[in-house]
Amino acid sequence: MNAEAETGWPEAAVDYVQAIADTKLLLGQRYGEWMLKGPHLEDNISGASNAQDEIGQVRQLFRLLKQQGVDEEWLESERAPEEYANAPTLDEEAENWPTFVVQAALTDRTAWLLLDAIDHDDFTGMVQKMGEDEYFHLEHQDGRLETLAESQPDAVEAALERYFPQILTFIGPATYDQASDPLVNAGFTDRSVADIRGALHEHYVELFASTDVSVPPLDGDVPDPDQWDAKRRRTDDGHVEASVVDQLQGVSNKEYVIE
Amino acid sequence: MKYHVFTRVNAGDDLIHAGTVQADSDRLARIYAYRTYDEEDWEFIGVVREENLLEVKTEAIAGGYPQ
Amino acid sequence: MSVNSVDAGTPGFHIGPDEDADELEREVWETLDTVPDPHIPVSLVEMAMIYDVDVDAGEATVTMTFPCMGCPAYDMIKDDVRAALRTIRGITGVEIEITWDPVWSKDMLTETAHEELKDAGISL
Repeated sequence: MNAEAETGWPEAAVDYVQAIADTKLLLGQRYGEWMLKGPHLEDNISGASNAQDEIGQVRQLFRLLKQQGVDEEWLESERAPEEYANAPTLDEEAENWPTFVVQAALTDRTAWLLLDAIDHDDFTGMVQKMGEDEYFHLEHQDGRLETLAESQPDAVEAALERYFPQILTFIGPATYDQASDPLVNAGFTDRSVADIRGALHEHYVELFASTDVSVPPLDGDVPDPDQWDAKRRRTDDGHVEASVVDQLQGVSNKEYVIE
Repeated sequence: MKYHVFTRVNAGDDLIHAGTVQADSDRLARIYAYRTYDEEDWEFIGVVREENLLEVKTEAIAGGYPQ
Repeated sequence: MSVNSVDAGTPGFHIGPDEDADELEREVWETLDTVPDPHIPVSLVEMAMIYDVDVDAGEATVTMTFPCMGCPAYDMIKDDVRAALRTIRGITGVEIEITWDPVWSKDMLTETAHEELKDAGISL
């Protein structure tokens, strides 16, 4: 066994990290799109920092994926939209501010929970460093959700109803508990999908406890484990638009690249 | 709401007024202050709601002599 | 998290060549100490971004970190490291390994770096 094989991850782990990385890539994109459209200049400054943080984190996750044999060209510039494993919550740009905040909040927190569950030497220190970034993202979003729950509770609740089932689907089936979650069994993560689902739900129930906003129930049937594709963490073939992929891959900026 | 941002570089220094942020809550004001004025590694950074700044007016002092 | 967390400013964290470093490795360290941080007037070594240097048959492996994961100068700094080391006689190749273990902290800065930054009016 060579040195590389000794540090090889289980195949399911490569898919898991790919999904986190692609979600963060899209988070960077969505933060960027909203960078000039927040209600306060301060939201935009924070949003710009969040976008930069996400892109920096993606760079490191891609570095690890390349070490696991994932093709660099494919990762960065040769993928079709349906080959991105981002959370479905980010497939479309939100149409207004409260919807964007719910979209980004649920997704960023979920990506963090999935990342923090990883228990592998290749991530030593790196996850801690990412957590230093994430504190500010999650605190900003929760602060914003609190104010929006006061000023626009209907919009927040509608966005939660739309995105909560989608983010549960991305996390994975409720049947993946501590005893059966394949990545926990493989020793790659130390927190099961079922546990992460519960943690996410509990967080928002507490956050909105004294507001008029109701959090959708933690539906154990979403996603259907028989329909769930572990590679893209979805039950359907939805994907981000081709025009967004062109931006992610820098297609229109290629003519300016200095080789 | 407008918040004033106060910082210092070293423990024991006087606080300096770094600037202001506009925020809808104290929680957001803290984050905005950090994100907007984070180019230095502050030993302390804090925010004060503008409404909590008390203006000192000579005529408001009982028995005093307004200028 | 057990494995993902490490102590920042790990006691005994050492910057510079190990005692058993050979002459070429010491020259690599000295050369890296001339590569400036693009943001502030200190070198990458003084900034404590260089964790380890290993030279094997002319191949230099530099293990380094970044104070900020989203550093816009990430690729530029790596290019600067490669360009600087290629000028050393005896170095035929440069490999850069990125690590986050331990996580960089300002407590790792050398005393000289603290002084230089202070003189430049920068607090870190």
